[in-house]
Parts: sequence; C-alpha cells; structure tokens
Amino acid sequence: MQAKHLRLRVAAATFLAWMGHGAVAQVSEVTTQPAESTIRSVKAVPMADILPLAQRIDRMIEAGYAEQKIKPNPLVNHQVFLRRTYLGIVGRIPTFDEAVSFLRSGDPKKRSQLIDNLLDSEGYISHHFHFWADLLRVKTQLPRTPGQPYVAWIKESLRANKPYDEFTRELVTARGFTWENGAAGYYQRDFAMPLDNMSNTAQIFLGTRLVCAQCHDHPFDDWTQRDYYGMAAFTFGVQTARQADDYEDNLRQFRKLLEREDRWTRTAGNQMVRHLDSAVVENNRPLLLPEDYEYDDDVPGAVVYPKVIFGTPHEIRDFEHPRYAYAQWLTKPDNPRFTIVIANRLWRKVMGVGLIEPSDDIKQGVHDASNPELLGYLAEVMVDLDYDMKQFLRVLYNTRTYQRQMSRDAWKPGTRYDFPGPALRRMSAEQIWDSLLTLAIANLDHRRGRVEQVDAKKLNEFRTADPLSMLAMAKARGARNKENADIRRQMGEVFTQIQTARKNKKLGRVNALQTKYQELAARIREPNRMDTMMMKPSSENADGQWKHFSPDMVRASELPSPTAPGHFLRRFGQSNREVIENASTEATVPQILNMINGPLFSRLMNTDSQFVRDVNRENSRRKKIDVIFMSILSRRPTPSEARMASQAVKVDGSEGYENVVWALMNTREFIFVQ
Amino acid sequence: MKDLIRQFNDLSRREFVTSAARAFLGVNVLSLAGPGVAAALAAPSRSRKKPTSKNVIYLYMAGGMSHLDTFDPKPKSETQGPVEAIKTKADGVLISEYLPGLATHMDKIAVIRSMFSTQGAHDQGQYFLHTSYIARGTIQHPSLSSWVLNLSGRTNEQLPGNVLIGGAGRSVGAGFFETRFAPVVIGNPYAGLQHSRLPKGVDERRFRERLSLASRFDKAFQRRYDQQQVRAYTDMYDDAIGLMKSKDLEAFDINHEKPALREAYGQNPFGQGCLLARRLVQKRVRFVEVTLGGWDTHTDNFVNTSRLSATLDQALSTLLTDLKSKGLLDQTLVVVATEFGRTPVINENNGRDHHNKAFACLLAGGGVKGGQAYGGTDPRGVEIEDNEVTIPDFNATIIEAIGLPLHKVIHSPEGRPFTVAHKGKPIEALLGG
Repeated sequence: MQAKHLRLRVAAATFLAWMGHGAVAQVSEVTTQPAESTIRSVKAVPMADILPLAQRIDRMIEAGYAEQKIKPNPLVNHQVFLRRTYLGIVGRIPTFDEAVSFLRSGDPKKRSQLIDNLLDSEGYISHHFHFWADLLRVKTQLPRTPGQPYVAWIKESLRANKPYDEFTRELVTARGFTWENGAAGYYQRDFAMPLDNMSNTAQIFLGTRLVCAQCHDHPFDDWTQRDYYGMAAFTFGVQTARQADDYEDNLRQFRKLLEREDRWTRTAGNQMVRHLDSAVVENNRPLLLPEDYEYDDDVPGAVVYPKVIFGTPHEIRDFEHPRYAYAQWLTKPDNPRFTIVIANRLWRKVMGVGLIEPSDDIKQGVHDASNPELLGYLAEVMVDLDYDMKQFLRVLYNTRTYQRQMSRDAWKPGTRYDFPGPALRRMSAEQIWDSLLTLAIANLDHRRGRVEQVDAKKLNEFRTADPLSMLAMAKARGARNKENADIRRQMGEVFTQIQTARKNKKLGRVNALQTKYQELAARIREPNRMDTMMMKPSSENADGQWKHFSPDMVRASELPSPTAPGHFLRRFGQSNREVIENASTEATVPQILNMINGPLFSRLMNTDSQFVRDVNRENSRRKKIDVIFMSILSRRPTPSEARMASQAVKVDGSEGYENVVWALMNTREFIFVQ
Repeated sequence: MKDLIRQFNDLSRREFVTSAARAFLGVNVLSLAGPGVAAALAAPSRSRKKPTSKNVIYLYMAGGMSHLDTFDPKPKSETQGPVEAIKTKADGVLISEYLPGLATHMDKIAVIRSMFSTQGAHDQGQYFLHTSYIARGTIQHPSLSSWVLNLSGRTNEQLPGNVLIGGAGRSVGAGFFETRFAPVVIGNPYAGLQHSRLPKGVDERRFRERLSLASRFDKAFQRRYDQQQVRAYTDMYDDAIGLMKSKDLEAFDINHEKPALREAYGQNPFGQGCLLARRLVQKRVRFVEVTLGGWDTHTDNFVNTSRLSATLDQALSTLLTDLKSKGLLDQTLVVVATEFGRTPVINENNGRDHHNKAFACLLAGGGVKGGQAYGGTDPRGVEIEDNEVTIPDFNATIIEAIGLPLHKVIHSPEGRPFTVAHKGKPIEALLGG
C-alpha cells in the first residue's frame, strides 16, 4: 500500500515538473472530497523497536540530573497518567467508561497500550489538527477562496499519518485550486503576499525569523535584506490568482460577453465563476530589490536570483520552477534546521517546554538547545523513523521523563530546564471545550460538524460549459437579483412609513403597512447565491444518540477555524489564525464569567447527557459522587472530598449534585493538565 | 507560545526601558508602569494647555462614510447630487442637510476634511484606521484602543478599560499585546455585559455554596502547584466575582436611564450604544468604541446615507448634549472616524464607490478646538487641497489630545519596535480647546 502510494507521488511530481510553467491541470474527474482513508495502526512497528529509543532519551535526560544535581519528580500514578495522556494525544479528558476500563485493567503494559490505542484513534486527528491550524494559520474562509478543502487536507494528512517531510513538500509545491488540491491553501492563506508567505515558511519549517530582514538587515540575527530576497526569489513566481492567459477559452469568452451586459448580469456572472480565479499558478516573474534598498552590495531594482540562507542548495533543474529545488533543500535531512524544528516542536507539545525556546526563533541551530546532545539525538530518531510523526510521539510518550509528575515550580522563560518532569500547562481552549463536551455527548470523536463545501462538480462544469448558456444563466440570475433589490427598496419605503405612522399613533395604518411589508418580504426569492458552495449537515448516527444536542456541539476541530469572536473557544484563547502560533492560555475575566454564568453548563446538564445518565445509573449517594469525580477529574474523591460532596447533596438534594459538578468544573485542577 | 514569547519580550523590554531611562534621565531605577515618567519623557514643549481628556468615545462609521453627503458638502458641484448644504453654529462651516442636529453642535466639533488613507479596500482600510499600520500576514498590530489601555492603564479597577459595542472586525484587538488589553465586546447594547448575571435557578446562596465547594475541592491542587499561571486563575475568579457584585456593573445596564433620554439617543443599537458609552466613560472606562455599519453605499447612496446620517445625527447630538450637561465633555474625547470616503462621481446605480484619497472625520470634546473645519478638498471633493492628514496623523492627534506618550516604543514578540501612531504627527491646530 505504502509503496504504491509512493510511486504515485513520484509520477505526479514528474508530471508537474514537465508542465513547468503555466496553467492549472486540466479538468479532472475527481470532483468531491477525497474519501477518508483508514487509520493504519502504529503497532505495525513493534514496541521492541520503540522502547530502546525512549530509554536512550531517558538516559540522556537522567545524565543531566546528575550533572545539575537535580532530583527528578516521582512517576505518576495511573489516574494522572490516564488523564494527561488522553489530553495530550486526543485532546480531551477520558469518558467515565474509558477511565474505569483503564484503571481496572491489571495488564502491566496498559500504559503503552493506551498510548498506541490513542495514537490510532479518531481523536488524534481532531486534536493534532489544532497543532497545525495554529502553526499554519488555517482558516475555513481564506482571503479569496474556500479554505475548507485545506482543513480537510490537513485532517486527511494526519489520518494517513503522512510523513512530515512529505507533508511539507506538498504544501510548498502545491498548485491548483484548493478544491482540487487542499494543500494549495498554504499559498492562498497569504493571497497576493508572496514575501510574507516566505517569512512564514521560514518561521514554520525552519524555526527562523526572517521577517525583520524583509525591510532592512536583521538587527539581532545575521540575516541581511539581501539574504531575505534571495530566499523569497524561490517562491516569488508562485501566484495565487490566475492571469487572463491561464483561463480556459470558454471562460475567457464568457467574461468578454459579460462586459457588455448590465451590472446585474455582470455581478451574477462573476459570482458564478469567482472561485475559478484563485488558483496557485507558477510563472517566472522576476523579484526585484525594493526601491529603498540602501546597502552597498547591490542597487535598488536589481533582479534577485534564488539563493538559500544556509546549508547546501539543491540544483534548480532546467524548465523547472525554482520552488521544487527549494522544497528539496528545505526538507532534506541535512538541512541544519528542518528536522530539529519539528523534533523540538513535538517534544514541546509532549513535555510542555521545548529544548529550544521560543521554538521558532533559532539563532544558531542545535546549540541553542538546553540539551544539544538530546536534540541532536531526537533529530536522528526523526530521520530514522522517516519523519513518521506518530512513531516519534510514540517514543516520547513511552519515556520515563514523560511519565513523571509535573514540576511543582514553574519553569521561567530564559532559564534552563532539565526536565525533572513535564511542565504544568493550562489546557488549550480546544481541550477545555472538547473535554466539557465529552461529559455530555457519547462518541463525540465521531460526530462531524456542519461543513460548507465547494461544489467542485459544478465548478468543473463551468470550466467547460458553453459561454452562451452560462450567459443565459447569469442573465436569469441577474434579473432575479434586480427584482429582489427592487422589492427591498419598496420594503425600505414601507418601513419608513410604518415608523411615521407609529409616531403619529395611527395604529390601523401601522397594521395595514405591516401586512404590506410581509407580502413584499414573501416575494423575495433568493437564487442560491452561494451556488458553488453547498452545506453538508452534521452527522447523525443510527440510534439518534446525538439528536438532543445542537449541531454546533461538536469537537472544536469540526467547527469553523477560527470560531467567531466571542465564541467560548475564542474567549479561552483559541488562535484567531492571524499570526503563527497565536493561541493563548492567559486568564481573562470574560472566560470566568462564561464558566460561572454562561449557557454551556446547562446545555451539558440535561437528562440526555451521557454523564447525567452515568450518574443516574447509580443508586447510592456515595457511588453517584464517585461517578461525578471520575467523569470530571478522572479520579476518585479523597475521603474528605467525598464527605464535603455528600454534605452538599444532603443539604440541597439534586441541586446539590449540580453544585458539586459545577464546583469541580470550576477548579484549577480541571483546566490544568497535571 | 504567544504568552511565552511575551514573557521573553517583557524581559528585553524591561532592559530596554531601564537603559533608555539611564540614557535620558541619568537614573538607574524606573518604575516600569509609571505613566508619570513616560509622560514626562514625552512631555510636549509647546505652550498649549495640558490635555483635559481622559477617555475616548470612538464612533466608527464602518464601510466608508460619504464625505460629500455628510461633513464636506460641495453645494455648487455636479458631484453633490440632490443634497443641500446648511449653515452651522460654526461660522463658515457648512455641513449636509442630513445632519441638522449636529449643525447646532458644530461649535464643539472640529471637522477634518483632508483625511487621507493609503488603503482602498474595507478590511485593509479598517485595519489601517484602527492600528496605524498596514495589514500584513506576519504580525497583528494592536488597535488604538489597546494601545490607549496599555499606555495609560485602567482607571476603574472593577470595570474593563476597553469596550467595543457592536461588531468586532479583525482589526480591533490586542494584537501582539497581552489579552488583557483586548476590548470586551458588547454585541448588543440592550443586553449589557454578557454572562455577568447569575443564571436562572442560581441564587446568591447557591452561588456561594458552589464557590465554597470549588475552593475546598481545589485546595490540594492549588497548594501543590503554587505557580503564577495557577494563581492568575484564582485571582481572575476573584476579579470576575468582584465585577458581578460591583455597583459599577450597572454602568452596562442602560435600563437605568430615563425613557426620555433613551428615546433622545434613538431607539436603535447605535443610539443605545452611544448611551451605553456615556455610562461607561462616566465610570472612567478608558476607551469605548461604538460601530455604525452600512456606509458602503455603492447602491442608492442618497437613500442609505440619509438614513444613516439621521441615526448618527440623533445619537451624536444627544451624546454631546448629555456629556456636557453631566460635566463630562471636557474629559471625554469624541471621535467620528471612517476608513475612507466615497467617490464624488455618482455611479450608474445612484451610488458612490470607495474613495480613500480624500474624506472627512471629526473630533470633539475635551482637548479639541471645536468650531472649525481643518483642511479641505477641491470644489468637486476629489483631491485634498490643503493640510493633508494621514491616518497615523489622525491617531497621533487622538493620543496627544488625551495626553499619552506618542513615542513610547513597545516591542513585538520578535523584538520589532512599534509606537501607538506609527510615524504620525499630531495636528496642533486641532488641539487645545
């Protein structure tokens, strides 16, 4: 399977290289979203190959304890391990059943097995999507084109466990429409801003901040403005909109026909084909030094040729766009930064602190690391695993270092951290949301959200349809829009009359006018303006177990990226996807008000809630309280906690249970990952 | 990551400020947060009166307000269309007939008729107006309101310092500043501050019981992890509960106003938003922005502009009267801003399109020399003829009017230096009222 996949990839690359310059691939038969691939188990690699790597990491860390005279933190118990690992790999707390079954198991290998099962599960995709969405600033609505295919492409890459180097190359060499190739979203995200796109590429994949050198020599690093332009020259000829030359003949004719029409037809016609503008295409336009270039090594306006900032360049082949050489150089194991950046980012994701911090402001390379030997080794492991991110995570989760208690003292930025254990962190916004929903909604990881999809079939039709018949469509639609606008104008007039009548207290007239207003409103027939988009409803399963929960109660990865300002997720620091890694875990007052008084609590506490059913299954007060603690904190109450809870219930009855639940959700223990 | 980089940044910023203080003042010790020192560093050497404004009410006309049909009428030009110009309380300053109420307030208002923006599209224009910087894909700049809060601090410990009433575009936010400088968004002025009241079925006693349980359940955890990030949450619970109990929370509830006054502001979200803004600045909230959308009048410009102008006219006139009668006008700067104007040429749909090379904005209230029109356009309203005011200049003038340091540098996470109004220069002729 894997080999076949690889061969296909080579063939595609050759084809693209041959095309070299110019238009988007011809109309393809593939018109819908790629089907979801099945998840291949990480167990295909035997544990016996993984454990020695984990142990070697532990030895390197433990050598540091001796050197720095540090006492490592004790290992965690099963309860803490369980909760931490669910949150780390699948991004939510375990359900009551999941918690009980893990804690009851007597298997000595149950920790490793849990890690494997979680890496193999649907939740892995959902949770790790945010890791990439935050890095890549993924938006469901890109500046000029639908971003949903980009979202789907990332999820599918995670599902297929695409090797990291391949993932990167596909992004950097992506071409076409997002709805043909989701990876094209990488360039569409920076629509018409190729210089910013290059700065972002350097920061994401090389952990290197070049952005200052965009306008002048970098004040703190070695990069010159000329270095910056040399890098930018690789991708400057990648454009995010098609030029007139790139259009299919019929579209060119259609546009020409539209020019002669009135604005209603023009608007409607442009609306029909608007998604056919934004494709990633290549050309050879030269990059020139800016007008205000002020250094002695060249003159303003000089043409810049591609040049890498470090490492060995990859040869730019004849008739091939320079970005293919760029992608090769970027992702080669001997690129001095490519591998350490991902190794460090994933280490940071698992342990809470990176070996290099901040992880995207590398100054020299591996020697920036608090433990350069360890980071060097992690990079070796990454290469040996062929950039298999799941196996790499599997190694880290199986270390003793990961399975130690969190440090009681916080690590301070700018100081050395020797990993006596991982570092305590607040849950991400997505982890909080997903965990709260886990309480209520069974099989949450499988519930899909409402998605607005591109109708690729229709768009492909437009690429070949007869221009005259398209014009007829545009005219009909334009006429309809015009009619609607006219009705709206009349409604506006009636509205003003209603206000006047109200002011003059002529109630009879108000009523008559309101009827008229309603009649007008009923006459508006909206042609589907988004007719190249269609709505896919949220999923419902056969036994209807989700029917009592609204379609927006799905995992954060199933909601728009980002959610709207003011959404629970945004309040808790979900990235607005404007700049790289923009998520926050800072405390704010609106967060707390939302937890205390917001509507989510009551939405979770209805009788259809899984968690409420679990509690109600028990008869005794003590057992009910046990279920509540296990569901929310993944542990049993201490005797004194059980007494307090029991007392609360004794005083207030069923309201008392609610109070206990509310109280547990509003503890620091709930929102921090221990 | 953002939080972490900020902490790094704080270290270097502190070093920077300290060394700058050494260089300028010859001292070693400097309180970081001291606005007094910062103000001293930036103290204007001019003889103008000290700024009296402390708070800002910023009325944002989203979509691009037509300058010809509001504050820069061209009565003799064919570009004017059907709108007449009327005389105002300021000698020689004519405005559109759509704004009869404001005509009687022009003595308090300075009209700037020579606004210039480099950005002609909505998103980019809104971003530029609010941040003084061009939108990029590699950074997010803080909006003016976040700058104001950062440079000055909250003056009411219970209430937020920065409030946005109405829609929130991507341009209005804390950018690379800490989240605490971001505006608190009030979507609906009728409803007040979201989630600030106990939910149905939870009375005071039950709420106390819940809090008490939470704190008892959490004791062991909080003792074990006595870290800043954990304590920050405990503090924030205290703050939130303090806010819920605060008498000042009433500031968010416009139902406390007399029906006649509510009516006078206009029974629409913008009018009521202006009323809410007044209640908030009365409680020393630093910056309140209220949005009035719909100015993107490509079609039927005159119908739409007259309707929107009526809303603005009623709300702003009442606001100025109300502020004055409560003795607040001297300490409140009122701004009317828009991202660009609209083309003098009337298009085939009786509309006007985007026009960023000349448009009008207003300043009024404390610190502003009212009763004047500053700058001007040619007889058709197309080009600026004198005293061009760029967006950064406009923002610099706002900052100067409220007495905050224009040149204080704050570094972004990657160490790039930024100032509140970029390279803008305040317009002295508008100040000193």
